Amino acid sequence: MVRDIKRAIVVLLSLVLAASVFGCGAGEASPDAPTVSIYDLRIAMLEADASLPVMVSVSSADESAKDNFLYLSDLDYDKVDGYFLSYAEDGSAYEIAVIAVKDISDVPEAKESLDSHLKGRKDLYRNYSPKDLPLAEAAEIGTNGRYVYLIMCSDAKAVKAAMESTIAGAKH
Amino acid sequence: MKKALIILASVLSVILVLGLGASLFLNASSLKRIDSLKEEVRELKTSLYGEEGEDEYGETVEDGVKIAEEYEIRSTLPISDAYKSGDRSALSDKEKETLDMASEVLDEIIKDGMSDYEKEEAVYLWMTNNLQNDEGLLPVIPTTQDDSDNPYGVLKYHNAVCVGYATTFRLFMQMLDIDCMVVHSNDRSHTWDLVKLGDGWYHTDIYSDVGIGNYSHFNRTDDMVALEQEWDTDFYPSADSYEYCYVCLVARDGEDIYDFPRLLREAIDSHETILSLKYTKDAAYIRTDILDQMASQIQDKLYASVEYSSMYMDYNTLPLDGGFIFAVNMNYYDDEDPDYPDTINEKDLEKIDKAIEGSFGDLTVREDWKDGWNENDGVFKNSYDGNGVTKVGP
Repeated sequence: MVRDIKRAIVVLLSLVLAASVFGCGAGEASPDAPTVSIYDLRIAMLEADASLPVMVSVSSADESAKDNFLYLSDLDYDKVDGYFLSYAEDGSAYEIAVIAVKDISDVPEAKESLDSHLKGRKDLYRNYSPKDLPLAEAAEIGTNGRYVYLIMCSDAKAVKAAMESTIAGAKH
Repeated sequence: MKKALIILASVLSVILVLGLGASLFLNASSLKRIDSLKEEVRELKTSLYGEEGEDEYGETVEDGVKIAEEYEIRSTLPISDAYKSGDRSALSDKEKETLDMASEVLDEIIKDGMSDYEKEEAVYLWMTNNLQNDEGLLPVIPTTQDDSDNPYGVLKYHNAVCVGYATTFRLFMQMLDIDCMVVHSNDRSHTWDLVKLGDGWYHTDIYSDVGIGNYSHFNRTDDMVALEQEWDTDFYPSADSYEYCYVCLVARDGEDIYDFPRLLREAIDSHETILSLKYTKDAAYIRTDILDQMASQIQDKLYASVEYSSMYMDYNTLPLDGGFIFAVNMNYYDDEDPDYPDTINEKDLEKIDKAIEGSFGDLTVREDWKDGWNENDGVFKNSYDGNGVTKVGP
Protein backbone atom coordinates (compact mmCIF):
# COMPACT_ATOMS: atom_id res chain seq x y z
CA MET A 1 0.00 0.00 0.00
CA VAL A 2 2.72 2.38 0.99
CA ARG A 3 4.75 1.37 -1.98
CA ASP A 4 1.77 2.00 -4.26
CA ILE A 5 1.33 5.45 -2.85
CA LYS A 6 4.99 6.19 -3.35
CA ARG A 7 4.81 5.07 -6.94
CA ALA A 8 1.73 7.15 -7.48
CA ILE A 9 3.48 10.22 -6.08
CA VAL A 10 6.50 9.65 -8.28
CA VAL A 11 4.33 9.34 -11.37
CA LEU A 12 2.33 12.38 -10.41
CA LEU A 13 5.39 14.50 -9.81
CA SER A 14 6.84 13.34 -13.11
CA LEU A 15 3.67 14.40 -14.87
CA VAL A 16 3.80 17.76 -13.11
CA LEU A 17 7.38 18.22 -14.19
CA ALA A 18 6.52 17.34 -17.76
CA ALA A 19 3.53 19.66 -17.76
CA SER A 20 5.59 22.55 -16.43
CA VAL A 21 8.03 22.09 -19.24
CA PHE A 22 5.52 21.80 -22.05
CA GLY A 23 2.33 23.40 -20.67
CA CYS A 24 3.73 26.87 -20.39
CA GLY A 25 5.78 26.46 -23.48
CA ALA A 26 3.15 27.81 -25.89
CA GLY A 27 4.54 30.51 -28.05
CA GLU A 28 8.18 30.11 -27.19
CA ALA A 29 10.81 30.11 -29.88
CA SER A 30 11.36 26.90 -31.74
CA PRO A 31 13.66 24.75 -29.63
CA ASP A 32 16.13 24.46 -32.48
CA ALA A 33 16.20 28.24 -33.34
CA PRO A 34 19.81 29.27 -33.91
CA THR A 35 21.37 31.98 -31.80
CA VAL A 36 23.28 34.20 -34.20
CA SER A 37 25.54 36.92 -32.95
CA ILE A 38 23.96 40.17 -34.06
CA TYR A 39 27.42 41.66 -34.34
CA ASP A 40 28.63 38.84 -36.60
CA LEU A 41 25.51 39.18 -38.71
CA ARG A 42 26.03 42.90 -39.12
CA ILE A 43 29.67 42.53 -40.08
CA ALA A 44 28.94 39.79 -42.60
CA MET A 45 26.15 41.75 -44.26
CA LEU A 46 28.03 45.06 -44.42
CA GLU A 47 31.12 43.42 -45.83
CA ALA A 48 29.08 41.76 -48.56
CA ASP A 49 28.52 45.01 -50.47
CA ALA A 50 31.76 46.79 -51.24
CA SER A 51 29.95 49.81 -52.64
CA LEU A 52 28.41 50.89 -49.35
CA PRO A 53 29.25 54.44 -48.27
CA VAL A 54 30.35 55.27 -44.73
CA MET A 55 27.76 53.60 -42.54
CA VAL A 56 26.68 54.31 -38.98
CA SER A 57 25.55 51.32 -36.94
CA VAL A 58 23.45 51.00 -33.82
CA SER A 59 22.37 47.78 -32.20
CA SER A 60 20.80 46.04 -29.25
CA ALA A 61 24.21 46.00 -27.60
CA ASP A 62 24.20 49.79 -27.19
CA GLU A 63 23.19 51.66 -24.08
CA SER A 64 20.56 53.60 -25.99
CA ALA A 65 19.42 50.53 -27.89
CA LYS A 66 15.75 50.91 -26.98
CA ASP A 67 15.63 54.60 -27.97
CA ASN A 68 17.44 54.00 -31.23
CA PHE A 69 15.16 51.09 -32.06
CA LEU A 70 12.28 53.54 -32.33
CA TYR A 71 13.87 55.04 -35.44
CA LEU A 72 13.57 51.65 -37.09
CA SER A 73 10.43 50.01 -35.78
CA ASP A 74 7.42 50.50 -33.56
CA LEU A 75 7.52 46.86 -32.46
CA ASP A 76 7.34 46.48 -28.69
CA TYR A 77 10.99 46.29 -27.68
CA ASP A 78 10.19 43.53 -25.18
CA LYS A 79 9.56 41.29 -28.18
CA VAL A 80 13.03 41.93 -29.60
CA ASP A 81 15.81 39.45 -28.97
CA GLY A 82 18.35 41.58 -30.79
CA TYR A 83 18.72 43.99 -33.68
CA PHE A 84 21.12 46.09 -35.64
CA LEU A 85 20.54 49.09 -37.87
CA SER A 86 23.21 50.35 -40.24
CA TYR A 87 22.56 53.44 -42.35
CA ALA A 88 24.47 55.85 -44.55
CA GLU A 89 26.10 58.63 -42.59
CA ASP A 90 25.35 61.11 -45.35
CA GLY A 91 21.63 60.30 -45.37
CA SER A 92 21.66 58.58 -48.75
CA ALA A 93 19.43 55.57 -49.32
CA TYR A 94 21.74 52.83 -47.99
CA GLU A 95 20.31 50.97 -45.06
CA ILE A 96 20.62 47.44 -43.69
CA ALA A 97 18.72 46.28 -40.63
CA VAL A 98 17.86 43.00 -38.99
CA ILE A 99 15.46 42.41 -36.11
CA ALA A 100 15.58 39.09 -34.27
CA VAL A 101 12.31 38.49 -32.43
CA LYS A 102 12.07 36.30 -29.34
CA ASP A 103 8.87 34.64 -30.46
CA ILE A 104 8.49 33.53 -34.04
CA SER A 105 4.81 34.45 -33.94
CA ASP A 106 5.90 38.11 -33.77
CA VAL A 107 7.63 37.94 -37.14
CA PRO A 108 4.63 39.29 -39.12
CA GLU A 109 4.31 42.25 -36.78
CA ALA A 110 8.03 42.97 -37.02
CA LYS A 111 7.87 42.77 -40.81
CA GLU A 112 4.92 45.15 -40.88
CA SER A 113 6.86 47.63 -38.79
CA LEU A 114 9.72 47.55 -41.30
CA ASP A 115 7.25 48.07 -44.17
CA SER A 116 6.03 51.15 -42.35
CA HIS A 117 9.57 52.35 -41.75
CA LEU A 118 10.46 51.92 -45.42
CA LYS A 119 7.41 53.86 -46.50
CA GLY A 120 8.51 56.74 -44.29
CA ARG A 121 11.99 56.66 -45.82
CA LYS A 122 10.54 56.71 -49.34
CA ASP A 123 8.37 59.70 -48.46
CA LEU A 124 11.40 61.47 -47.06
CA TYR A 125 13.45 60.88 -50.22
CA ARG A 126 10.53 61.78 -52.43
CA ASN A 127 10.35 65.17 -50.75
CA TYR A 128 13.96 65.92 -49.92
CA SER A 129 16.24 63.81 -52.06
CA PRO A 130 14.54 62.43 -55.18
CA LYS A 131 17.81 61.05 -56.52
CA ASP A 132 17.79 58.55 -53.66
CA LEU A 133 14.26 57.37 -54.34
CA PRO A 134 15.11 54.65 -56.92
CA LEU A 135 17.34 52.85 -54.43
CA ALA A 136 14.64 53.12 -51.77
CA GLU A 137 12.05 51.72 -54.20
CA ALA A 138 14.28 48.70 -54.82
CA ALA A 139 14.69 47.95 -51.12
CA GLU A 140 13.92 44.42 -49.96
CA ILE A 141 12.14 43.38 -46.75
CA GLY A 142 11.88 39.71 -45.84
CA THR A 143 12.11 37.08 -43.15
CA ASN A 144 14.35 34.17 -42.30
CA GLY A 145 13.02 32.19 -39.37
CA ARG A 146 12.77 34.65 -36.51
CA TYR A 147 14.88 37.24 -38.31
CA VAL A 148 13.28 40.08 -40.20
CA TYR A 149 15.48 42.13 -42.49
CA LEU A 150 15.54 45.31 -44.51
CA ILE A 151 18.18 45.60 -47.22
CA MET A 152 18.51 48.83 -49.16
CA CYS A 153 21.76 49.01 -51.12
CA SER A 154 23.30 48.42 -54.51
CA ASP A 155 24.10 44.74 -54.06
CA ALA A 156 21.13 43.52 -52.04
CA LYS A 157 21.57 39.99 -53.37
CA ALA A 158 25.07 39.64 -51.92
CA VAL A 159 24.02 41.13 -48.59
CA LYS A 160 21.05 38.77 -48.36
CA ALA A 161 23.24 35.80 -49.22
CA ALA A 162 25.68 36.81 -46.49
CA MET A 163 22.83 37.00 -44.00
CA GLU A 164 21.46 33.58 -44.96
CA SER A 165 24.88 32.04 -44.80
CA THR A 166 25.58 33.48 -41.36
CA ILE A 167 22.24 32.30 -39.97
CA ALA A 168 22.61 28.85 -41.53
CA GLY A 169 26.11 28.59 -40.11
CA ALA A 170 24.77 29.24 -36.61
CA LYS A 171 22.52 26.18 -36.86
CA HIS A 172 25.46 23.82 -37.02
CA MET B 1 6.70 8.99 10.87
CA LYS B 2 6.75 7.38 7.52
CA LYS B 3 3.05 7.75 7.22
CA ALA B 4 3.29 11.43 8.05
CA LEU B 5 5.87 11.95 5.34
CA ILE B 6 3.75 10.16 2.84
CA ILE B 7 0.75 12.28 3.69
CA LEU B 8 2.85 15.46 3.47
CA ALA B 9 4.23 14.47 0.11
CA SER B 10 0.75 13.69 -1.15
CA VAL B 11 -0.59 17.05 -0.01
CA LEU B 12 2.32 18.91 -1.63
CA SER B 13 1.81 17.04 -4.86
CA VAL B 14 -1.84 17.93 -4.96
CA ILE B 15 -1.04 21.56 -4.28
CA LEU B 16 1.55 21.54 -7.05
CA VAL B 17 -0.83 20.01 -9.54
CA LEU B 18 -3.61 22.41 -8.66
CA GLY B 19 -1.25 25.35 -8.85
CA LEU B 20 0.00 24.35 -12.28
CA GLY B 21 -3.51 23.84 -13.53
CA ALA B 22 -4.55 27.25 -12.26
CA SER B 23 -1.54 28.89 -13.87
CA LEU B 24 -2.25 27.34 -17.23
CA PHE B 25 -5.90 28.31 -17.02
CA LEU B 26 -5.12 31.93 -16.11
CA ASN B 27 -2.60 32.28 -18.93
CA ALA B 28 -5.07 31.00 -21.46
CA SER B 29 -7.75 33.35 -20.16
CA SER B 30 -5.37 36.33 -20.31
CA LEU B 31 -4.41 35.62 -23.88
CA LYS B 32 -8.04 35.36 -24.86
CA ARG B 33 -8.82 38.63 -23.09
CA ILE B 34 -5.92 40.40 -24.87
CA ASP B 35 -7.19 39.27 -28.25
CA SER B 36 -10.64 40.50 -27.38
CA LEU B 37 -9.28 43.87 -26.25
CA LYS B 38 -7.27 44.24 -29.46
CA GLU B 39 -10.43 43.75 -31.45
CA GLU B 40 -12.28 46.33 -29.34
CA VAL B 41 -9.50 48.87 -29.87
CA ARG B 42 -9.56 48.27 -33.60
CA GLU B 43 -13.32 48.78 -33.72
CA LEU B 44 -13.07 51.94 -31.63
CA LYS B 45 -10.34 53.33 -33.87
CA THR B 46 -12.40 52.59 -36.95
CA SER B 47 -15.46 54.31 -35.50
CA LEU B 48 -13.40 57.39 -34.59
CA TYR B 49 -11.20 57.71 -37.64
CA GLY B 50 -12.85 55.64 -40.31
CA GLU B 51 -11.33 52.72 -42.17
CA GLU B 52 -7.59 52.25 -42.30
CA GLY B 53 -6.01 54.78 -44.60
CA GLU B 54 -8.13 57.72 -43.59
CA ASP B 55 -6.60 60.67 -41.77
CA GLU B 56 -6.18 59.68 -38.17
CA TYR B 57 -5.08 63.14 -37.11
CA GLY B 58 -8.53 64.70 -36.89
CA GLU B 59 -9.31 68.27 -37.92
CA THR B 60 -6.66 70.18 -39.87
CA VAL B 61 -4.99 73.11 -38.19
CA GLU B 62 -2.12 75.32 -39.36
CA ASP B 63 -0.01 75.57 -36.20
CA GLY B 64 0.76 73.00 -33.54
CA VAL B 65 1.27 70.28 -36.15
CA LYS B 66 4.21 67.89 -35.88
CA ILE B 67 6.01 67.02 -39.08
CA ALA B 68 7.98 63.78 -39.36
CA GLU B 69 6.88 63.21 -35.75
CA GLU B 70 9.54 65.61 -34.62
CA TYR B 71 9.32 69.16 -35.98
CA GLU B 72 6.51 71.40 -34.86
CA ILE B 73 4.93 74.23 -36.82
CA ARG B 74 4.66 77.15 -34.42
CA SER B 75 3.09 80.57 -34.82
CA THR B 76 5.43 83.56 -35.10
CA LEU B 77 2.68 86.19 -34.90
CA PRO B 78 4.10 87.73 -31.70
CA ILE B 79 7.32 88.49 -33.61
CA SER B 80 5.67 89.96 -36.72
CA ASP B 81 3.19 91.91 -34.58
CA ALA B 82 6.11 93.37 -32.61
CA TYR B 83 7.80 94.36 -35.88
CA LYS B 84 4.74 96.17 -37.12
CA SER B 85 3.87 97.82 -33.81
CA GLY B 86 7.40 98.59 -32.68
CA ASP B 87 6.59 97.18 -29.25
CA ARG B 88 8.86 94.23 -28.43
CA SER B 89 8.36 94.25 -24.67
CA ALA B 90 6.33 91.04 -24.69
CA LEU B 91 8.93 89.05 -26.62
CA SER B 92 11.32 86.53 -25.09
CA ASP B 93 15.06 87.01 -25.64
CA LYS B 94 15.04 84.39 -28.37
CA GLU B 95 12.11 86.09 -30.11
CA LYS B 96 13.87 89.43 -29.88
CA GLU B 97 16.96 87.99 -31.48
CA THR B 98 14.82 86.41 -34.21
CA LEU B 99 13.13 89.74 -34.83
CA ASP B 100 16.51 91.49 -35.10
CA MET B 101 17.87 88.95 -37.56
CA ALA B 102 14.71 89.04 -39.70
CA SER B 103 14.57 92.84 -39.65
CA GLU B 104 18.17 93.03 -40.81
CA VAL B 105 17.36 90.86 -43.82
CA LEU B 106 14.33 92.92 -44.78
CA ASP B 107 16.27 96.16 -44.41
CA GLU B 108 18.77 94.78 -46.89
CA ILE B 109 16.46 93.37 -49.56
CA ILE B 110 13.21 95.36 -49.48
CA LYS B 111 13.17 98.69 -51.31
CA ASP B 112 10.57 101.44 -51.30
CA GLY B 113 7.94 101.11 -53.97
CA MET B 114 8.21 97.34 -54.33
CA SER B 115 4.97 95.51 -55.08
CA ASP B 116 3.93 92.56 -52.94
CA TYR B 117 5.09 90.19 -55.69
CA GLU B 118 8.50 91.87 -55.83
CA LYS B 119 8.82 91.70 -52.05
CA GLU B 120 7.92 88.02 -52.06
CA GLU B 121 10.41 87.37 -54.85
CA ALA B 122 13.13 89.26 -52.97
CA VAL B 123 12.56 87.12 -49.87
CA TYR B 124 12.50 83.94 -52.01
CA LEU B 125 15.81 84.84 -53.65
CA TRP B 126 17.47 85.78 -50.37
CA MET B 127 16.39 82.55 -48.68
CA THR B 128 17.28 80.24 -51.56
CA ASN B 129 20.65 81.92 -52.13
CA ASN B 130 21.75 82.30 -48.53
CA LEU B 131 20.43 79.24 -46.79
CA GLN B 132 20.91 75.53 -47.30
CA ASN B 133 19.12 72.29 -46.53
CA ASP B 134 19.88 70.59 -43.27
CA GLU B 135 21.06 67.22 -44.46
CA GLY B 136 20.99 66.04 -40.90
CA LEU B 137 17.33 65.32 -41.56
CA LEU B 138 18.09 62.54 -44.03
CA PRO B 139 20.02 59.91 -42.00
CA VAL B 140 17.81 57.26 -40.39
CA ILE B 141 18.71 58.67 -36.97
CA PRO B 142 18.65 62.40 -37.71
CA THR B 143 21.57 64.52 -36.68
CA THR B 144 19.83 67.77 -37.37
CA GLN B 145 20.41 70.45 -34.82
CA ASP B 146 18.06 72.10 -32.38
CA ASP B 147 15.98 75.01 -33.69
CA SER B 148 16.14 73.71 -37.24
CA ASP B 149 12.35 73.94 -37.34
CA ASN B 150 11.91 77.62 -36.51
CA PRO B 151 13.07 81.05 -37.75
CA TYR B 152 15.57 81.45 -34.91
CA GLY B 153 17.58 78.44 -36.08
CA VAL B 154 17.11 79.21 -39.77
CA LEU B 155 18.36 82.78 -39.52
CA LYS B 156 21.12 82.05 -37.02
CA TYR B 157 22.62 78.87 -38.49
CA HIS B 158 21.49 79.17 -42.09
CA ASN B 159 20.36 75.61 -42.41
CA ALA B 160 17.13 73.97 -41.41
CA VAL B 161 14.43 71.45 -42.15
CA CYS B 162 11.30 72.22 -44.19
CA VAL B 163 9.31 73.41 -41.17
CA GLY B 164 12.03 75.96 -40.43
CA TYR B 165 11.91 77.40 -43.93
CA ALA B 166 8.15 77.43 -44.17
CA THR B 167 7.71 79.23 -40.85
CA THR B 168 10.56 81.65 -41.62
CA PHE B 169 9.07 82.53 -45.00
CA ARG B 170 5.70 83.05 -43.33
CA LEU B 171 7.34 85.29 -40.72
CA PHE B 172 8.84 87.47 -43.46
CA MET B 173 5.50 87.68 -45.28
CA GLN B 174 3.64 88.57 -42.09
CA MET B 175 6.22 91.27 -41.31
CA LEU B 176 5.53 92.65 -44.79
CA ASP B 177 1.76 92.43 -44.25
CA ILE B 178 1.32 89.80 -46.96
CA ASP B 179 -1.10 86.97 -46.10
CA CYS B 180 0.68 83.66 -45.84
CA MET B 181 -0.10 80.20 -44.45
CA VAL B 182 2.13 77.22 -43.71
CA VAL B 183 0.76 74.13 -45.48
CA HIS B 184 1.54 70.59 -44.37
CA SER B 185 1.05 67.45 -46.43
CA ASN B 186 -1.62 64.95 -45.37
CA ASP B 187 1.01 62.41 -44.40
CA ARG B 188 2.78 65.07 -42.29
CA SER B 189 6.08 64.58 -44.02
CA HIS B 190 6.55 68.01 -45.61
CA THR B 191 5.60 71.67 -45.28
CA TRP B 192 5.63 74.70 -47.58
CA ASP B 193 3.75 78.01 -47.90
CA LEU B 194 0.67 79.49 -49.50
CA VAL B 195 1.03 83.22 -50.12
CA LYS B 196 -1.68 85.64 -51.21
CA LEU B 197 -0.90 88.12 -53.96
CA GLY B 198 -3.75 90.25 -55.24
CA ASP B 199 -6.87 88.08 -55.20
CA GLY B 200 -5.06 84.77 -55.67
CA TRP B 201 -3.06 82.33 -53.58
CA TYR B 202 0.17 80.67 -54.69
CA HIS B 203 2.29 77.78 -53.40
CA THR B 204 5.95 78.48 -52.65
CA ASP B 205 8.29 75.82 -51.30
CA ILE B 206 11.55 77.39 -50.14
CA TYR B 207 13.08 74.15 -48.85
CA SER B 208 12.86 72.49 -52.27
CA ASP B 209 14.63 75.39 -53.99
CA VAL B 210 17.20 76.23 -51.33
CA GLY B 211 20.70 76.24 -52.74
CA ILE B 212 19.26 76.21 -56.27
CA GLY B 213 16.95 79.22 -56.50
CA ASN B 214 15.65 78.16 -59.88
CA TYR B 215 12.04 79.18 -59.24
CA SER B 216 10.90 75.61 -59.80
CA HIS B 217 8.81 75.75 -56.60
CA PHE B 218 7.97 79.45 -56.68
CA ASN B 219 4.37 80.63 -57.00
CA ARG B 220 2.72 77.47 -58.26
CA THR B 221 -0.91 76.53 -58.67
CA ASP B 222 -2.80 73.69 -56.98
CA ASP B 223 -2.61 71.64 -60.19
CA MET B 224 1.16 71.82 -60.26
CA VAL B 225 1.67 70.98 -56.58
CA ALA B 226 -0.91 68.19 -56.66
CA LEU B 227 1.50 66.20 -58.85
CA GLU B 228 3.80 65.85 -55.83
CA GLN B 229 1.82 66.41 -52.67
CA GLU B 230 -1.54 65.86 -51.03
CA TRP B 231 -2.90 68.37 -48.54
CA ASP B 232 -6.27 69.31 -47.09
CA THR B 233 -7.73 71.37 -49.89
CA ASP B 234 -10.90 71.95 -47.88
CA PHE B 235 -8.93 73.74 -45.18
CA TYR B 236 -6.40 75.66 -47.24
CA PRO B 237 -7.44 78.25 -49.86
CA SER B 238 -7.40 77.28 -53.51
CA ALA B 239 -4.43 78.37 -55.57
CA ASP B 240 -5.95 78.52 -59.02
CA SER B 241 -4.95 81.99 -60.13
CA TYR B 242 -2.45 82.49 -62.94
CA GLU B 243 -1.80 86.19 -62.40
CA TYR B 244 1.38 85.68 -60.36
CA CYS B 245 2.03 82.05 -61.20
CA TYR B 246 5.71 82.08 -62.12
CA VAL B 247 5.64 79.71 -65.08
CA CYS B 248 2.83 81.81 -66.51
CA LEU B 249 4.77 85.04 -66.06
CA VAL B 250 7.86 83.72 -67.89
CA ALA B 251 6.04 81.69 -70.54
CA ARG B 252 6.96 82.36 -74.14
CA ASP B 253 4.78 81.57 -77.09
CA GLY B 254 5.11 78.09 -78.48
CA GLU B 255 4.28 77.36 -82.10
CA ASP B 256 4.99 73.90 -83.41
CA ILE B 257 5.10 71.31 -80.60
CA TYR B 258 7.83 69.41 -82.47
CA ASP B 259 10.05 72.43 -81.94
CA PHE B 260 10.02 71.59 -78.23
CA PRO B 261 13.17 69.38 -78.22
CA ARG B 262 15.23 72.09 -79.93
CA LEU B 263 14.06 74.76 -77.48
CA LEU B 264 14.70 72.46 -74.53
CA ARG B 265 18.19 71.61 -75.72
CA GLU B 266 19.02 75.29 -76.07
CA ALA B 267 17.77 75.90 -72.54
CA ILE B 268 19.75 72.98 -71.11
CA ASP B 269 22.95 73.94 -72.91
CA SER B 270 22.54 77.43 -71.46
CA HIS B 271 22.05 75.87 -68.03
CA GLU B 272 18.66 77.47 -67.69
CA THR B 273 16.39 76.10 -65.03
CA ILE B 274 12.98 76.60 -66.56
CA LEU B 275 11.41 76.43 -69.97
CA SER B 276 7.81 77.53 -70.10
CA LEU B 277 5.93 77.42 -73.37
CA LYS B 278 2.45 78.84 -73.91
CA TYR B 279 0.29 77.33 -76.58
CA THR B 280 -2.82 79.23 -77.55
CA LYS B 281 -2.88 79.18 -81.33
CA ASP B 282 -4.95 76.29 -82.55
CA ALA B 283 -4.66 74.95 -79.01
CA ALA B 284 -7.49 72.51 -79.59
CA TYR B 285 -5.25 70.62 -81.98
CA ILE B 286 -2.14 70.62 -79.78
CA ARG B 287 -1.39 67.16 -78.40
CA THR B 288 -0.20 67.48 -74.81
CA ASP B 289 0.35 63.73 -74.70
CA ILE B 290 2.94 64.16 -77.46
CA LEU B 291 4.72 66.83 -75.44
CA ASP B 292 4.72 64.52 -72.39
CA GLN B 293 6.07 61.66 -74.49
CA MET B 294 8.85 63.82 -75.92
CA ALA B 295 9.80 65.09 -72.47
CA SER B 296 9.89 61.54 -71.12
CA GLN B 297 12.09 60.27 -73.95
CA ILE B 298 14.40 63.26 -73.62
CA GLN B 299 14.74 62.51 -69.89
CA ASP B 300 15.81 58.94 -70.72
CA LYS B 301 18.33 60.22 -73.27
CA LEU B 302 19.75 62.70 -70.81
CA TYR B 303 20.12 60.05 -68.11
CA ALA B 304 21.84 57.69 -70.51
CA SER B 305 24.28 60.38 -71.60
CA VAL B 306 27.65 61.20 -70.21
CA GLU B 307 27.04 64.94 -70.43
CA TYR B 308 23.72 65.18 -68.59
CA SER B 309 23.22 61.97 -66.62
CA SER B 310 23.09 63.90 -63.36
CA MET B 311 20.25 66.20 -64.28
CA TYR B 312 16.56 65.53 -64.16
CA MET B 313 13.48 67.39 -65.25
CA ASP B 314 9.98 67.67 -63.98
CA TYR B 315 7.32 68.94 -66.32
CA ASN B 316 3.62 69.63 -66.28
CA THR B 317 0.79 71.08 -68.26
CA LEU B 318 -1.27 73.97 -66.98
CA PRO B 319 -4.61 74.77 -68.54
CA LEU B 320 -4.92 78.37 -69.60
CA ASP B 321 -7.84 80.24 -71.09
CA GLY B 322 -7.75 79.43 -74.75
CA GLY B 323 -4.83 77.01 -74.43
CA PHE B 324 -2.26 75.71 -72.00
CA ILE B 325 1.28 76.13 -70.67
CA PHE B 326 3.82 73.33 -70.83
CA ALA B 327 6.45 74.02 -68.16
CA VAL B 328 9.70 72.14 -67.66
CA ASN B 329 11.97 72.64 -64.62
CA MET B 330 15.54 71.51 -65.08
CA ASN B 331 17.58 70.46 -62.05
CA TYR B 332 21.30 70.09 -62.36
CA TYR B 333 23.39 68.15 -59.87
CA ASP B 334 27.14 68.57 -59.65
CA ASP B 335 29.16 65.51 -60.54
CA GLU B 336 32.04 64.83 -58.15
CA ASP B 337 34.25 64.09 -61.12
CA PRO B 338 32.71 65.36 -64.36
CA ASP B 339 35.19 63.32 -66.40
CA TYR B 340 34.10 60.07 -64.76
CA PRO B 341 31.07 58.56 -66.48
CA ASP B 342 28.46 57.30 -64.06
CA THR B 343 26.65 55.04 -66.49
CA ILE B 344 27.90 51.80 -68.01
CA ASN B 345 27.53 51.88 -71.77
CA GLU B 346 27.62 49.12 -74.38
CA LYS B 347 31.36 49.30 -74.86
CA ASP B 348 31.91 48.98 -71.11
CA LEU B 349 29.62 45.93 -71.08
CA GLU B 350 31.56 44.27 -73.87
CA LYS B 351 34.84 44.82 -72.08
CA ILE B 352 33.36 43.53 -68.81
CA ASP B 353 32.08 40.37 -70.48
CA LYS B 354 35.37 39.76 -72.25
CA ALA B 355 37.35 40.20 -69.04
CA ILE B 356 35.06 37.87 -67.07
CA GLU B 357 34.86 35.19 -69.76
CA GLY B 358 38.63 35.14 -70.00
CA SER B 359 38.87 33.92 -66.41
CA PHE B 360 35.52 32.24 -65.72
CA GLY B 361 34.34 31.11 -69.12
CA ASP B 362 35.31 27.49 -68.43
CA LEU B 363 32.68 27.04 -65.68
CA THR B 364 29.71 24.77 -66.41
CA VAL B 365 26.37 26.59 -66.33
CA ARG B 366 23.75 25.05 -64.03
CA GLU B 367 20.62 23.60 -65.63
CA ASP B 368 18.27 25.96 -63.81
CA TRP B 369 20.28 28.98 -64.99
CA LYS B 370 20.52 28.07 -68.65
CA ASP B 371 17.26 29.70 -69.59
CA GLY B 372 17.84 32.56 -67.22
CA TRP B 373 15.32 31.37 -64.64
CA ASN B 374 16.61 30.38 -61.23
CA GLU B 375 13.88 28.19 -59.80
CA ASN B 376 15.41 28.23 -56.35
CA ASP B 377 15.25 31.98 -55.96
CA GLY B 378 12.28 32.55 -58.20
CA VAL B 379 13.85 35.56 -59.90
CA PHE B 380 15.14 36.06 -63.38
CA LYS B 381 18.90 36.07 -63.64
CA ASN B 382 21.33 37.21 -66.28
CA SER B 383 21.97 34.46 -68.76
CA TYR B 384 25.16 33.66 -70.57
CA ASP B 385 24.85 32.31 -74.08
CA GLY B 386 28.20 30.61 -74.02
CA ASN B 387 29.82 33.24 -76.19
CA GLY B 388 30.52 35.46 -73.23
CA VAL B 389 27.70 37.88 -73.97
CA THR B 390 25.54 38.87 -71.04
CA LYS B 391 21.85 39.12 -71.64
CA VAL B 392 19.88 41.01 -69.04
CA GLY B 393 16.20 40.43 -68.37
CA PRO B 394 13.54 38.60 -70.39
